[in-house]
Amino acid sequence: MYGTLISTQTLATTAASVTFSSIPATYTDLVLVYSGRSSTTNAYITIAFNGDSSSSMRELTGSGTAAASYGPATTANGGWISISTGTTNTFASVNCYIPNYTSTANKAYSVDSVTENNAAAATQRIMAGLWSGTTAVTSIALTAGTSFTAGSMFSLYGLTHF
Amino acid sequence: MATALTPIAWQSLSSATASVTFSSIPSSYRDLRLVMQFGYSGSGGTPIVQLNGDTAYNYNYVVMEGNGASTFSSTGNQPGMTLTFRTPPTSATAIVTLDILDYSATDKHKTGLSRYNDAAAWVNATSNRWSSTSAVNSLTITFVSASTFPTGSTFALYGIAG
Repeated sequence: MYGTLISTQTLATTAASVTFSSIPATYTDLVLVYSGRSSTTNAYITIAFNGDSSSSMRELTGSGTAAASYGPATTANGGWISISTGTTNTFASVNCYIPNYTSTANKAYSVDSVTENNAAAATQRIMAGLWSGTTAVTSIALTAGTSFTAGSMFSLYGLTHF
Repeated sequence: MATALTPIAWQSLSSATASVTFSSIPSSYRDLRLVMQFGYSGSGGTPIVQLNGDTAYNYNYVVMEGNGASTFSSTGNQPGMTLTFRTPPTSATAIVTLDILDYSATDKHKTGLSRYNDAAAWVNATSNRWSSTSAVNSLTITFVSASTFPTGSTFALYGIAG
């Protein structure tokens, strides 16, 4: 239900980052969906628009036993993934929505992450982000705190207003 | 590639406006998605979405939110589906997605799930229920008390196929 698929990448080996480049300006909104697992216990993801990773974010998290809020911060501004010591074969689900990505205004975006784990260390996180860039988004890079494991999958969709 | 998210209508404000309406919504989809990028000017009005012109307190909500320093949750009723109780930014940098499920059904109340994102202040998730079994044929986005959406605010309505 995300729109038209622009590009998808599935990792065959561990990788520190994933990039979508040459994003066409033919849509109005972008949806980035990814399923990720970390090669270490470092689970945060940094997002960069057009090579700029300085987006600011605020976040609300829940673990089933407690709620917390973080920010403003410019790290972990692209979501969170499952950690290497979590349940085997379990990946996080992350959905990032970027409306009006071709506008000449700053780019607000949202990120929802669920770090799946069949144990106590599982969290749901909702995030508000803002990239202070006034050019159209032409590339998006996701950089892991350490690296993404093989099997992590990333898909970028375009959506058009009426 | 075909998409299950079909644009129905879109509005972009060229001047400050107190309310935005989508009317004559076709009943041919399963769910609706409203995507807004907006700010506000006025006396601190809470942005809401009224269905079929119902301006009474027939909408119940549960909200959870965080600002980076603290978390908050509440429940109650409002004269529209609640998007946030916090003051939106003055420029159009807040984004909201609101999903209204099974909107054309006539045997159930209408539920809405929304996400509010303002990276400079608050992030939230809200569930809403409109206590009516009428099929939704119009949406009006407005404020509880006198306020306006600024120039540059955008509102996009999509239908999601069942």
